Amino acid sequence: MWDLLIVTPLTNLLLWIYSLSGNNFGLAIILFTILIRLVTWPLTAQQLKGAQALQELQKDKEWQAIQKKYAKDREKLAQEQMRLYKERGINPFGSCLPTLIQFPILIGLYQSLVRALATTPYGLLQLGRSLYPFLNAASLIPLNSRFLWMDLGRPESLPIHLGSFSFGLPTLAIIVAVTTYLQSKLTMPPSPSDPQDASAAQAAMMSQMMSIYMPLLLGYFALTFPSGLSVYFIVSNLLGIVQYAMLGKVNWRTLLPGKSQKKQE
Amino acid sequence: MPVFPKPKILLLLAFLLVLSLTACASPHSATWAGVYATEEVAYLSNGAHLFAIDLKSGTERWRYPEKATAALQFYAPPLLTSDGQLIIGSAGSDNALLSLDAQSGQERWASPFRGAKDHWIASPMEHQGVIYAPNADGHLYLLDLNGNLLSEKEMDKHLWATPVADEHYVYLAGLDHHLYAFDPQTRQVVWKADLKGSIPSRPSLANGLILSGSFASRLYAFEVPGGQARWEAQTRGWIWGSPLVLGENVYVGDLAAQIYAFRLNDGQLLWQKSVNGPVVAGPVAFGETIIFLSESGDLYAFDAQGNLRWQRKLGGALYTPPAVTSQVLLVVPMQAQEALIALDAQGNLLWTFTPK
Repeated sequence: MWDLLIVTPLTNLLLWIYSLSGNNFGLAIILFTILIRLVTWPLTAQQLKGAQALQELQKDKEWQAIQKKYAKDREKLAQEQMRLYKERGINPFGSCLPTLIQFPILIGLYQSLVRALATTPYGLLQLGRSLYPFLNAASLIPLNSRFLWMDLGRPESLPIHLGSFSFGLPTLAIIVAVTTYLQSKLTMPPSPSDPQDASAAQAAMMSQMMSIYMPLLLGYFALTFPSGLSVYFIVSNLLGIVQYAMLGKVNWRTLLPGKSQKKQE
Repeated sequence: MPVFPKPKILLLLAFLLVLSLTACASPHSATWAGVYATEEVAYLSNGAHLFAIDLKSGTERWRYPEKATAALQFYAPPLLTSDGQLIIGSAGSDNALLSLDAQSGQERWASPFRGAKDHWIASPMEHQGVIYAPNADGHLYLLDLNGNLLSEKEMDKHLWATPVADEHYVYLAGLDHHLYAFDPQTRQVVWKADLKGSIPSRPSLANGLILSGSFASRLYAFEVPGGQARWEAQTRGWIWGSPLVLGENVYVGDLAAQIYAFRLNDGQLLWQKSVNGPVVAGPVAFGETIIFLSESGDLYAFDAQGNLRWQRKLGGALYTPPAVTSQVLLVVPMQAQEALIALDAQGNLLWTFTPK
């Protein structure tokens, strides 16, 4: 079912874009990423709206009051918070859902890339069967997996020669880690105005953690998996920043050294 | 707190993502095994090991390597050279081409050839003391029998098919849709023909013709050595396996579960039959019969007129071209308990081999 609903359609979409982009797989991945970003635009907007509503709620006097009142009774606090969410029409998971939706896309994309590049006979047989009739599979296969200096079916490293010493620099992994970090920092919500607000403090801590762990995690993926996936990560990160900027949510000052968000308040 | 997921949950999600991606398997994950046989020994390239199996008893003589590693993965059948070496390429992480002693399984070369940039899908071929080794990186590597690189020739794209040779040229098929004629003297491509689709299997040489099918659902015949097109014949589905030339006929199967016999001279269709599943492996001759295998696990023995002599259902999916000796037919099922099945000329089971 997963294959039928996710991997096969994504593979066909990818190859359709590939056929339209002059058989350039790198360009196809970039266009595919833009398409995914456009399709998930409403979800991202919803995520931002949800996050903003939650931030505003934290400044609300009633919210702050119940934080203090039920500081020692977590169960009651949770009940009261839920009541407030209901009253204000806020979905507490509204900001998480778009992130969760990215997961199957990411896994499906990885599987589509592996399938499209078909590096074994069995893989090629599976690819041939996955393609919809409107694609002229016989003329498309094998895909041109070269893009710039990369083979998109393999992890990337740029050969560097320094005299007699040479090594492979994992350029894409570094760019993935840096762009992921930038995206996390630029889109980080402001720190809580009330240091006593435990839930807001936890949210800020979580954001901090994500800005450290996600670059490392995605950098590891870029180091290990086919470089086509790295191209997806980089384009997706850059588009994410652009998208947040268009919605006026990017906080450029968070990049300045020594400028903690607390000071900006 | 109900507002945000706890860090532990996020870490768990990240872990699940890593697990999901890694569980999707690396690009070089399993494909079907390969087999080659002499009258005494079968050599089975079965993933982490190359097995030498006694043909009489079906028992293991040796395996290489003793301990499985990710660096070495074998799927292409080995080449047995004129001086008793088994040359085999790895689809593992180090892209090694190795030489083993056919009797003992010990390494023969001082070190494996590691000059290729990608993995080895095709078996190499020996011609006039030179090893012709096509690699998935699109290069044809020429080595001497000691493993020294003589030269390399870059073709357009991935090379998955074993070359064939006559007294003039070495003929090579690529996934890039082309059939190449390569001059061993000048080490240049003399001519190439566009077959309109990928060619994943070895072409066949017979009676002054070279024959190859392609994903364009056509079987092509070219004259050798000149390369003039003689005929082409339409099939219903993609042709994956090598065509078999036997007598005056050529036999081939396709992925649309059809098998065909064409007249070799002019490509006229003699007979066509449906089988129970897609035909990936090329047919083989076993005595007077032509053996076809289908993905459905069925084995068919036809005579030249298209009469079914016998049919046998085996477990698993059949993709690997079988190996034949004068007495034994060796079939390699995928997704089955047995790694190798030996049958006699009537399709009766002789033995099975399951690695321990």
